[in-house]
Amino acid sequence: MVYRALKNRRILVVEDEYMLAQELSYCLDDAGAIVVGPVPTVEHALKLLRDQVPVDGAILDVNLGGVLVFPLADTLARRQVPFVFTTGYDPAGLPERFLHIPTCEKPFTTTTIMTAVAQAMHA
Amino acid sequence: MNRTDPSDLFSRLVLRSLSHPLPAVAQYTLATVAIVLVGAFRALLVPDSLPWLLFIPVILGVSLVTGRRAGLLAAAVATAAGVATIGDPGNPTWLTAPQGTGAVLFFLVMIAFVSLTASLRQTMSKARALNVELVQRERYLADREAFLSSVLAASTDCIKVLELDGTLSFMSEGGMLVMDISDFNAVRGCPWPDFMKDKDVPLAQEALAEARQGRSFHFEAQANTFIGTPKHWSVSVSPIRGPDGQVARILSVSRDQTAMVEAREQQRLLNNELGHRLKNVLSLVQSIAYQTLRDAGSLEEASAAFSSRLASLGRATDILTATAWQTAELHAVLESGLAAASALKERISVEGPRLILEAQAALALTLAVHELTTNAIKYGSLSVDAGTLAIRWAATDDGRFTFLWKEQGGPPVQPPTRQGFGSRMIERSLRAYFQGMTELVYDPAGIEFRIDAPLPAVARSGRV
Repeated sequence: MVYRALKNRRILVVEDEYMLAQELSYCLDDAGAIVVGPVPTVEHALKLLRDQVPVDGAILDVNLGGVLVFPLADTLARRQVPFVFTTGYDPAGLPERFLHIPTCEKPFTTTTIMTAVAQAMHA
Repeated sequence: MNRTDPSDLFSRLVLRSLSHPLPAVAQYTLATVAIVLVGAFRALLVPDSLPWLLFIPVILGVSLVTGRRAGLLAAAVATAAGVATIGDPGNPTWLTAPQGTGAVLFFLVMIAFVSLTASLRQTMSKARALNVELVQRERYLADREAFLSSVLAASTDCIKVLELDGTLSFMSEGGMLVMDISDFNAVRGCPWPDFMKDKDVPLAQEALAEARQGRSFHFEAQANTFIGTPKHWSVSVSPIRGPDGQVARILSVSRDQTAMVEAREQQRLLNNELGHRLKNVLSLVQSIAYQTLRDAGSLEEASAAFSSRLASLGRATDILTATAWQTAELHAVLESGLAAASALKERISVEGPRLILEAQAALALTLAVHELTTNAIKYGSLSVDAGTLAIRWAATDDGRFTFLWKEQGGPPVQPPTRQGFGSRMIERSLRAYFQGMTELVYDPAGIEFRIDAPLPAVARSGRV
């Protein structure tokens, strides 16, 4: 299903679980978006941003192999790039400054995450 | 020596006669013999004087040592002896009138003396019984105090007595030990609620208020020991009533439950972590489901492939469960990945050192080996009798992990026309998890698969 808000938008996928990253990439592709990544760590993602790779939005896994994604989230927020979180933890445990960020609790359906990204892009 | 023991000979004699009373016959015999001896003594040595005087101490002594009846017998015998020795055989009445009067008076006075002395003896008997009771009670109280002290000292609870205003007035030995207090005077009179962490002070004050009202109160609180070690306590506070039934003081018993609280917290964290990992695995299963359906030619094919992938994932979780989802050993990972070929073991050779893998790498490798094995059984070297499979890996000195899967003796290999879930899983997912190079080679002589990755990315703590 094509989402108008995602059409030809460049979406960064940060997810350390390869299978899930792969699946998110397929869905974004199906929705008409252009996938940036996927990358498994904060470092990889920050390098892409430093290399001036254009990014219009992002899907961020909160816990990347024990490392929290928040420094990257802060960078994206400063650049006013909209993003959504995915997490296997309780979303209520997020830092206060991120409580307004749309969060998809794992496991989620492809429709849930695509709708969340599309709404974040639209807003 | 007991403080009420008599010290003089006389008292000791009387007490001995009280504790070891003579039989009645012996008493009467003693009284009679004593009087007869004194009478004979007087008749022989001083026949002309002191007809009565010498009998008096003997009668008093007999009544003290034996009691009223033997005393009266002694008085009667003494009077008879006196009358016998002072009489005049020439006188028809035996005694003169003054002598008769003297004898009668002597007898009467002796009766009175014997009565008084017997009363004295009875009083001494009562005093002796009271003394025995007193000694017994003192011994009982001393025993009881020693018992209570030993009970207090044996308890590992911190047992305290507080005044009504909440200040400390007693702490048990065991309590001083758990509170790291060596000298009670350092805390005597301190307000007890001040020992609690700030947030728990109101609870302690509520407990005191309840106890003053005559009610018990229980709460859990944090408090540091005297030298500042933080601990968790289970505290029971109850009123101590005085003889008039009013609350006189307050008892507080605190039990150190730090170890239990910490274990509870550990359990909670572990539960959260397991929940998180479970959700991650569900996401993984969901991805496998989506991608299996995407690649499959028919629903039957999808169903069979998905079931066998799930079974392989299930075997991998068995290995991970043993380490609470932390790590898995490479040999065990391969064994679970090769499960589909378990009947063909003699044609498969596996060689490599022990290596501990991170959970994610272990799951990915299990799935990849499962895909390779399934393919080998359907189309590769394990599909014909002569085919073999060799698996080798090494951890090299320059910190690299190398892995080789090599099939030989199977039908000629044809490169696939399109890349499905299996080959994607094998190549790309392992590349992502192992952060290294992976290569799937469709050599006509047999499929080869290689991994070359940095060892720290693969293994939890290098070689084991």
